[in-house]
Amino acid sequence: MKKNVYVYLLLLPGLIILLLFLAAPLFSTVFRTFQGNEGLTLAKYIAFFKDSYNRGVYIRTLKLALLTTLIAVILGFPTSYYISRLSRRARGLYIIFAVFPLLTSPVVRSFSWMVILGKNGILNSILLKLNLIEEPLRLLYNEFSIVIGLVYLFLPLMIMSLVGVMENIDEDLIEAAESLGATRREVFIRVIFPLSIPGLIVGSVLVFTGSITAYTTPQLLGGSNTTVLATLIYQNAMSLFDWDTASVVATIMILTTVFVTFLINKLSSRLNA
Amino acid sequence: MKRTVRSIIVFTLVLVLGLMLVGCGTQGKNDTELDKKSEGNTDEPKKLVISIWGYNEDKLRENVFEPFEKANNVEIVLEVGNNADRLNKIRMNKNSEVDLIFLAHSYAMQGVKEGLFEKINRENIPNIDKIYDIAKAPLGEDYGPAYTINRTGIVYDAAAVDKPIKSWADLWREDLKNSVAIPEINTTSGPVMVIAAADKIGVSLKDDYRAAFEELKKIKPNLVKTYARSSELVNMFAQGEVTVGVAMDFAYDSIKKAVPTARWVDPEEGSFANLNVVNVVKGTDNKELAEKFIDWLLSEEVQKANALDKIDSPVNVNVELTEEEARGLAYGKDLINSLQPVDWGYINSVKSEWIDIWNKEILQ
Repeated sequence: MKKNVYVYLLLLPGLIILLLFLAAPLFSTVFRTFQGNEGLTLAKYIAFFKDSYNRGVYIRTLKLALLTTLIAVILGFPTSYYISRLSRRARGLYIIFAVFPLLTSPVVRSFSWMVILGKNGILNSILLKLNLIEEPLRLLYNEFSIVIGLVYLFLPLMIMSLVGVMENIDEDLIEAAESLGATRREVFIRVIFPLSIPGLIVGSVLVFTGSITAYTTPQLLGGSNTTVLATLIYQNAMSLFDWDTASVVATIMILTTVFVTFLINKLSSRLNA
Repeated sequence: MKRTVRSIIVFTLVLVLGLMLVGCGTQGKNDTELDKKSEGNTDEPKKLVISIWGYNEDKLRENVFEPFEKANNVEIVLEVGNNADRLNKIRMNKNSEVDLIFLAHSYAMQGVKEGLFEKINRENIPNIDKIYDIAKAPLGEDYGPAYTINRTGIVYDAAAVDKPIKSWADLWREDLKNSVAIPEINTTSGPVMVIAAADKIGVSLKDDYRAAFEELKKIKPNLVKTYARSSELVNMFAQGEVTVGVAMDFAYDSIKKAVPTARWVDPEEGSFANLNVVNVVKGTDNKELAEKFIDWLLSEEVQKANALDKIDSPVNVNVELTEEEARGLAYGKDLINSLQPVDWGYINSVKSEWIDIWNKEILQ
């Protein structure tokens, strides 16, 4: 019993920093959005969602973030499985490759996607040369290019989370399953996949949170009709100095993230059952 | 168990409070130590903190900061960032160390409105008499002058656009379908598109800005993108995404390097003027030194050096440049007089509605 209490003491330094520098400012951000002339009110939120434009932006942001997460799962899962089965040395090397996109600034990354996806970009030139298309496709400045940019940006987080879990899956378990007559597909579905779910949750939450709050990538790769929630925050805070509205949007983002995290957890515990 | 948990909570609180007190305490101590130092040793350079964008820092150091440091035994420290970030910083932290702040006209106006600046003593800045009238007191006699003017006009690729572009109204032309980039409304040059639209249909902006937005809506088939930074525009030209762009003059040099056939146009109606102003921040201990710096910034020497490096267009009327030296700059009496001023006081007052309409009508 006594021992346990001392273990809690180890939490103290982190807790103090979190309380002082995260919880307190976050609370003051969230709290002011519920403040009205007469006590607490939801008026600011109702006003926000009453506007069909704001609803459109909210749905677009949610859609882009979910799509990005889904694609990151589909691309990240096989990659991570491959990496996790490599020798320790090769694994390190591959992980460095996977993390590479995180090492450059979002602006540089987005500019390089413009070079690839542009009207005279690499992709269009190849397609034109192969006579697959007659005139350049519009690949830039729409939701398509935003999702590509976001997947590229956040895939490493998915891979890192999954590799961390998958490399701890005991080889013996797989052998045992195979020796008991499971086919490779069955091994994957009934052994590997369930054991990877914790990594999948962490990865999905990280990718989703990152995409829903992303500002630079949608700004640079998006077009005129691809405004996202982060753009609204920026407009309100930085050009109008309207911190209240900016806080409302920020709180909506936080609540959405919490809710989706909760859903992902629920979904995966059902998968696990 | 309960008791230990309680004692842990108490301990945490004490620690947090203690840390705060220690934090305050050491700061106080540092201050007095610094004071002593500056009293005891007169050779110790004074510190002047300047809040500025951060572009061309190397050249500004050479042309402006270093000579001033040497002549006045000052150490200049920079705080860099965009207009909004830096304005917010001095607004949030009234005890900030910043002595001088460089801002675009619209943001400086906001600062004046909120009382963030010290009133200046014009007698300490004799060089104000040597600058263009438009730059002398854009925020009123009490506040800082403009040290440079830039302009928003049009850049187009002459190799890709057959009929030359001459006026703001040309941006609506049908042959420019899917080839134009304009600035985002919340950038320094953003609101000029609304003004240009109002001019095009001959309505007064203040009477009927909705009509201007209706007109601006008609430009949408031509738009590729509304951009937020000049580097985006340069990149779009370089990649051939756009052939026409509404741009600030300092971006032209980079566009021209990427697309040699690019041309700068001062439209018939006149390009739009933007003034960059410099102000002394309220609560500074170095007001006179700051005023001396402003005077130095307006001097012929600095203005010419910055013009030759193509950093800032000169406002000092005595600066003389050859045609080649003046390329890309807002230079010369005729040009300066042809510029259309932007009424930032009015625009700031309607900005929130404008952004709303812009989001809903132009961006959708």
